[in-house]
Amino acid sequence: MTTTTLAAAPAGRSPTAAALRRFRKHPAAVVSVLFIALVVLAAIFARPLSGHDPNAIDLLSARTGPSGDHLLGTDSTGRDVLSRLLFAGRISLGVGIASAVIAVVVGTLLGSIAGLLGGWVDGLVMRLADVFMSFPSLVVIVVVAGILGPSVLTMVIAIGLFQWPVCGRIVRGVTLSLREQEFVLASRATGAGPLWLMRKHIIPAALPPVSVVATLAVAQAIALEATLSFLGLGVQPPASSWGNMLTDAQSLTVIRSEPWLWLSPGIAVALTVLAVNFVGDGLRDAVDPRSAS
Amino acid sequence: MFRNRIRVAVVGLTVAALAVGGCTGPSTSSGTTPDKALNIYLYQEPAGVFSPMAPINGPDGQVMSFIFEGLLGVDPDYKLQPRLAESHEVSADAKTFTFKLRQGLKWSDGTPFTAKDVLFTYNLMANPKTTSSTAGNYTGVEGVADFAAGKATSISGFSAPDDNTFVIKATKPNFGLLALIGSVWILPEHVLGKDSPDAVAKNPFFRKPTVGMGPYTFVDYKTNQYVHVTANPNYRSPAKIKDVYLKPMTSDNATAQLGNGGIDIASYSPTDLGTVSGFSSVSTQEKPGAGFVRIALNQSKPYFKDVKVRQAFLYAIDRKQVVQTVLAGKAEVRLSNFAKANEPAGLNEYAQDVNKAKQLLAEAGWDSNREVQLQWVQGQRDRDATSTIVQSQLAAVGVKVKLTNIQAAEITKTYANKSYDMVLYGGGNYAVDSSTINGITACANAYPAGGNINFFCNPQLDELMAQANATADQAQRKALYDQAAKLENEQVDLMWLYSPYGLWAVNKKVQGFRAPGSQDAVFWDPASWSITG
Repeated sequence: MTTTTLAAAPAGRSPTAAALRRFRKHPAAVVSVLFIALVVLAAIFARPLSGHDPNAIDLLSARTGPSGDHLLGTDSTGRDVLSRLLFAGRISLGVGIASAVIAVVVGTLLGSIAGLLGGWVDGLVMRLADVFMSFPSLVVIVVVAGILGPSVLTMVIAIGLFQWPVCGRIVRGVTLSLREQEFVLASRATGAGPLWLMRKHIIPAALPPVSVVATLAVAQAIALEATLSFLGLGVQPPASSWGNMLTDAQSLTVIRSEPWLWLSPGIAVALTVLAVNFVGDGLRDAVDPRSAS
Repeated sequence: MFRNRIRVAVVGLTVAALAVGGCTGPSTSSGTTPDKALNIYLYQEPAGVFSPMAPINGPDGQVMSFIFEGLLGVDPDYKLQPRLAESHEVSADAKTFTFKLRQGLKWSDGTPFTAKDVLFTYNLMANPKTTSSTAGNYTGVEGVADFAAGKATSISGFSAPDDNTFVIKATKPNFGLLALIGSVWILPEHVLGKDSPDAVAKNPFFRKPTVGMGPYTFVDYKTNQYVHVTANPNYRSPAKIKDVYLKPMTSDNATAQLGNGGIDIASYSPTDLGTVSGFSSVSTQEKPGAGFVRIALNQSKPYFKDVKVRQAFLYAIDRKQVVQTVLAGKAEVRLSNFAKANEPAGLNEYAQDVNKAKQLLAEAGWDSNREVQLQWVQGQRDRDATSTIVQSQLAAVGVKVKLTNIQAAEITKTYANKSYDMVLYGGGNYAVDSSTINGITACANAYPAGGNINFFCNPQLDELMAQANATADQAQRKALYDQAAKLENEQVDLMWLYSPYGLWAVNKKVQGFRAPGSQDAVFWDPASWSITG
C-alpha cells in the first residue's frame, strides 16, 4: 500500500522497508491489522464458522440467550445472532471499502484536475469541495435514501460522494507542489498531456497520503453505514448489517434483559472502527515520518 | 495521536452511559400536579387542534374523549351506548334514526344543551367546506349530495323537531350509519354558531376548548409537558377525580414512571410485559383491538385471482406461532374481517398446513420461479418481524418473496397503479358495526373509490353485505352477516394475520378504568374512574 516509485534506495533501506519498519513500531496499528484480518476472515468464512443460515427463522426458540447451539443467542424471530453478525460483517466491511474507493477515485480525479489545470477549474472544484464539506452529510444521505428508496447501492454512493473532498484537497496539494518541479516541467516540455502526467507522476506521489485518508474513510463509512441501517435507511431486511441488528435494542427492556441482541453488533462496530482508525494512524506515521509524534 | 482517539472514545462512552442512565432514572413529575390528580401517558405529542372536524389523531382524540361527548358512545367492548341521547330508535326500513336527548343537560359553562347544538354539529361535520375530515361518512344522509352541490342551503336529512329530539334520515336503508355517525362529539352552537362554515375550523376555541359536554373541561395544554383537564361541575354525574394530566413522553419513560408512580395509566408494548408485570403497584388490562394486521394480495394480478393460491398462502403461515413469538401472545389470530365477537362459529381456521399449501399451489399451477414482492412500511417491531417470518414460511412452500421496505408516502402510488404484489399493513375499525367491512371488500369500493386496495370482487358477498345493512332487525341482520363472514372466510379476500391487544398498565389505586383496544383509542367514561388511598 505504501510503495513509492522513487529511484531504488540501497538494499534493506528502501522507502517501503523503512515505512514498514516505522509501521511495526506502532503496536496499536499492528494489533489492529491482525484484528481486521481476523474480521475479514470471519466474514469470508461466515457460513462454516457459524453453522447456521443467517435468515433461517425458528419461532420456537426466539429470543433465547447464548447457548451451545446458538453461541450468541437468537433474535426476535429465532435467527442465530452469531451467524447474522458474521454475515453482517461482509456487508459492513463491503460498504466501508466500496464507499472509500468511490471517495478516493473521485477525490483523486477531481483533486489532480484542479491542481493541474488551475484557474477557474481549480476554483470551481475547491468550492464544490467546500460545499460538500459544509453539508451535514447524514441529513443529506437520509434525504437521498428517502427519495431514491433505501438500498445498499444508494448508501455506498451517497457515503462515497460525501467523503471525496478530504482526498481531493490532499491530491490537489500534492499536484500543486509537483507542478512546478523540474521533472514535471521537463515532461510537459517534451509534450506530455495532463492525463499522462496524472498517471505517471501525480498519482504515484499522492498515493501514500491518499492511502491514509482512504483508511480513515473506511472507518467513517462503516460507522455511517451502521447509523443509516439503524435508522432503517441502509441495509434492508432480511439481510443483516451491524447497524440494523442494533435496531432490536430500541427499548429499555431489551437493553436491560436481552443484552445479547445488541452487545455483539455494538462491540463489532466499535472495535472495527477503532482498529481501522489505528491502522490509519499507523500508516500516517509510516509514510510521513515528519508528522510522527 | 492514537492516545487522543482513545480519550475521545472514552468520553463518548461516558456520555452514552449518562444518556441511557438519564432515561431510566426516576424523572420528577411536574411540580404543579396535586396528589390526588391522575396522570395518563400519551403515546404522542397532541397536534393541539382539539376539533372533531380535524383529521383523526390518536392523542388529540384521547384528550377530546375527556371534554366532549356524542349522542352515543362506543364502549371498550365496541358496543354503542347512550351518552347525551337517552335512547335511540331505528325505523323498520333502517332509514330513519331518532334520538331522544337526556333532559336538563347543561354545557360546562352552564348554558342549556338542546337538539339545536346537535343539529349545528351534524351540519358542520357533513359539510366539506368546514374541512371536516369525516364529511365522507355523511354521504349516506338524505340531502347531503344536494347540499354539497349547492342545490340546497341546508341538509334535509338532519332535523330537530323539538329541543329534545334529533332525527337523521338516510337516502337508502343503512343500519351501519348509526355506528358511523352516531357517536360524533357535539360542539357548542352558542360559542361557534356565529362563524361561517369555512371559517369555523380556525376558531381559537379548538386550541382551548373550554366549553364541552364531557365529564372534564379543558384547562391548559403545555407543549411537551401535559394537557390539563379538570372535572366539569355541570356534568350529569360529576367526575370523581378532580384533575387529570395527559402527558406525552416516550414509551420507555412511561414504563419507568409507572413503577415510581409518576404515571397512573399507560399503554405498553408486548416487549415491556415483563418489566410492567414486575411492578407490584400496577395491574394490567388487555383488550382486543378493533382493527387487524393483514397482508393484501393484489387480485388485479392474474396469479392472485385463484382462490386456491390465496388459501395456500394462509395455510403456509403459522399465525398462532407468530402471535406467540412476535407479540408475546398478546394478540388474536383473525379468521375474517369480522371481529371475533361478531363472527359465526365454524369458520375455517387455516391452521398452518405446509402440505396442504403445497397441494393447493400445485393445483393452481403456481410458478415456483415467480418472485412476488411483499412491501411494508418499516418501523413497527411486530410488523418487521412478521414480514420476515412470512417470507421464510412462504419460501418453505415454494413461493419466492422479496421484502421491500416502502415509504409511507409512496404506498398509495402502488395502489393507484396496481403495481404491488403483497402489502402488509394494519388498522381499521370493523368491530362496532360489521357494515364497515363493505368498505374494504365491495367491488364498488376498489381503490381509489374505497378502501378495497386488494381489488377483491365477489358480487355475492356484496349482495349479502348490502342486505344485512338494510335490515333493522338484529337477529336477521346477524344471520345475514354470518353468511357473509363464512363466504369471506372461504374466499380469503385478505391474508388476515392478527388483532394486537391494547395493553394497558394501571396503578392499583385507580378504580373503574376500562382499557381501550389500542394505545391510540379514545378513553371510555372517565367520569366513573376514582382514586383510593
